[in-house]
Amino acid sequence: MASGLIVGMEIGTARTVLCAGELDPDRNRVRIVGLQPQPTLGVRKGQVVDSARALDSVNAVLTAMSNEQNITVWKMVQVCSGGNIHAVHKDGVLSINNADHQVTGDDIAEVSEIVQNRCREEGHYLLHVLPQGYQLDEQWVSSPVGMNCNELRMHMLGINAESNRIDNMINVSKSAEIEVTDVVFGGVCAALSVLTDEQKRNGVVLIDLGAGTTDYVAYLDGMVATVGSISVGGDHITNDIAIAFNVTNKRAETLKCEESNALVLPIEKGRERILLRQDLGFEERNINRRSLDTVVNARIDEILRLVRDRLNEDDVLSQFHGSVVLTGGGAYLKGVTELASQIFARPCSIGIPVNVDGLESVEQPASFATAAGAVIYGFKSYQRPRVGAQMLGFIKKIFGGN
Amino acid sequence: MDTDSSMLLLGVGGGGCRLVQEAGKLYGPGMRVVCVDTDSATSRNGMPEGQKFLLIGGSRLSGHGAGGDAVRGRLAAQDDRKELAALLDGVRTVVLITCLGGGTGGGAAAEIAHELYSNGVTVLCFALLPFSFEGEARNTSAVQLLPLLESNTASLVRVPQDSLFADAGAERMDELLERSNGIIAAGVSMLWRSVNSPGFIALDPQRMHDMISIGGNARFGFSVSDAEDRAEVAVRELLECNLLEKGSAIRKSQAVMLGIMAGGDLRLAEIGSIMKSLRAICPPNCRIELGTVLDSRFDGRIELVALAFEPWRESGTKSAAAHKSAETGSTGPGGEPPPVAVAPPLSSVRRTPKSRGGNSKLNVVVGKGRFQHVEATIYNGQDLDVPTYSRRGIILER
Repeated sequence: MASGLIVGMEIGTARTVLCAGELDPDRNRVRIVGLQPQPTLGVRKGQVVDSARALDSVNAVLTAMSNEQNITVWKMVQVCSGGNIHAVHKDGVLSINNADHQVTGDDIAEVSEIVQNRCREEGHYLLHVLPQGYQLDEQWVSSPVGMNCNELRMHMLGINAESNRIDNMINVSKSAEIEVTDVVFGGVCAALSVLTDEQKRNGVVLIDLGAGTTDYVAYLDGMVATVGSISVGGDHITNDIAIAFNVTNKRAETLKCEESNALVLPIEKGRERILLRQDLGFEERNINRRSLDTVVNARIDEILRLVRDRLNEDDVLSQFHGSVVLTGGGAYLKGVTELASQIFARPCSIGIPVNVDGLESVEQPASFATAAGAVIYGFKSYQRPRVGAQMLGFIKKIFGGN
Repeated sequence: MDTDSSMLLLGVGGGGCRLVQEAGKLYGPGMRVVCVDTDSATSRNGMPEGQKFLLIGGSRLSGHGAGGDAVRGRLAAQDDRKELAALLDGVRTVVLITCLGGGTGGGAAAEIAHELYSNGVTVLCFALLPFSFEGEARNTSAVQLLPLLESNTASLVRVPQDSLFADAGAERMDELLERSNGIIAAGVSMLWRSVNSPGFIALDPQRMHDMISIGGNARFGFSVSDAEDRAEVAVRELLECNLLEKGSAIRKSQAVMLGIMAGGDLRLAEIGSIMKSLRAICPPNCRIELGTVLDSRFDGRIELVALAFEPWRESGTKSAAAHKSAETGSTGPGGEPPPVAVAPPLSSVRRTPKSRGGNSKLNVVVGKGRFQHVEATIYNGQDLDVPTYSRRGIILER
């Protein structure tokens, strides 16, 4: 791997994406210099179900990156998603007993350790810890060092994932002789590449509509308020179409991407039926366009409402006055942004990776938001020391080349 | 038991709202009535005292109605699910009235019935079918929704409007409409009166609740007479009315709920005469529940309302409350959670033991396709790998 490159890999349900980027030190911005998507096999709902086939997919993307972009990868940041990933909100308290009752950096580190331990769950890896704020006695402050108090309380959001599922994903990369330097939640990655500071301050919900999973991240007042992942995605839409109209998955995928609308609208005269041309084992026939839209609408409507319900459970939407941003391949389905706007009663747009360079000429850039965000995450982690120790003891934190 | 608050009359869609408002006026104060519609015009002239109106799908449809689109009606009901739940707090039994063939009356009614059923509320649904002259599209849409309503209500009362009008016996359209609306309104309000302000024979609310819960689909019949031999005339007309298929529905029924409304001049002999005629054509093991209502405004007149239930299930079979406990994960008698992946709570598959003959061609068993051998995604008791359209009971046009 060329010196100074960070590589992120997303082993998705539909495709595996390898993304390599370098840091422009003058502008402090990441530039994507290599992007390779390849179809994935052996993964369902973001989880490895067939290691051998998943390995083939990883090897294919590594080979393509090496042959086409002359980038050989041996370590990378790995993205993970799946319904097992969830957020926990915890806090921890530390008595400030020194003579002048002033908070020091050591006090911050100590209370952070306390809260992180509370965030950890048995059988899970603590992927991320995100400080949510501090209280000095009862007063909320943003930067407590040097301030006086009797009791320092730290609030944190921890993102946990089932360790076995993460290990399965990492083992596939290890089998391809790739060192995984970090594991990161897909929603966090997408947010890194797409969202601006202003959006985060105003409040924003990012929903990554992938093939196997739907990840979401909600920001309030510039901080992550909650995250989550649901094991339902674009694959379910395709499956619904295949079952409803008795067509192959391949045809269903084409119908989804090219013919369907997430909104059930009046159909123009002459377009009421969709012709399915003769194929191996299938005679030529036509299907009702409105029924196709109904099937797609039902599924996407349900997915978005599930996210909305989860955000309500976490008491986020009541405080949320911003917008909704969609990423992932599902964001490009016709009518999705309008439907999301109806369901959340907020403006909705497709999230373009504006926080990286190099994706300007890529088709459907929002579908690469997660992979690009993994690269940004890699650089940010390399630049800043982590708060407290990570659970992933087997990961070597070596970035940036040899 | 607080009977007033535990029963509610719910009108869905323009037609349903009109009928429940009529019933509410007939009954007077004390009847809990809620009207639900996507068209804000329903409440434009104000609601009668004690009646509430809920506009659903306001953000989606802006109060202009569903435009005859059942899918829009369904989505509108989903939009305001929580507001509806708040209005139904404490309710055990809902009598839902809807006119099928339209958008709100069709789509929203099915969605609301499902929501009520999922929350353990017993629903008796009066579904008025469109006239034959309203066209094939409306009639097809109405018929397609019947299995969905059937699977989400304790008892479905199909009221073919063609039969209703034949029984109304008027010639002018305005008279026909007034009389037929009056028949439904009178029938529904009598159910309330039988429970809440009965005469000397009360229809026990728990027994009515049980009858609805474990009775099958039902047919509704109505008659009125002010003749000198009013009892004999009323019962004869009841047994010959088109709504009860000229008595055929009674002959096949296993349970009949009969309401007799009259003035203070009602005689015991008249009740005996009515019951004798009814028993003569009921099957031998048919259960008959009787309630009487006395209202001085009905001196000289007798009104009869009958609900004839089709196959009668043995007690202990699945009721709405049992369905709710199954959905929330309570364990059954064996301590095992219900198999949610095998039996999705809402689908076009008939739930046993409420299966009955006919219409089986509309029911299609739907699998999970490529997710058949993958760990299921279960949320709130539903297997999300089963197609959403199937779980929501959406009938697709072919």
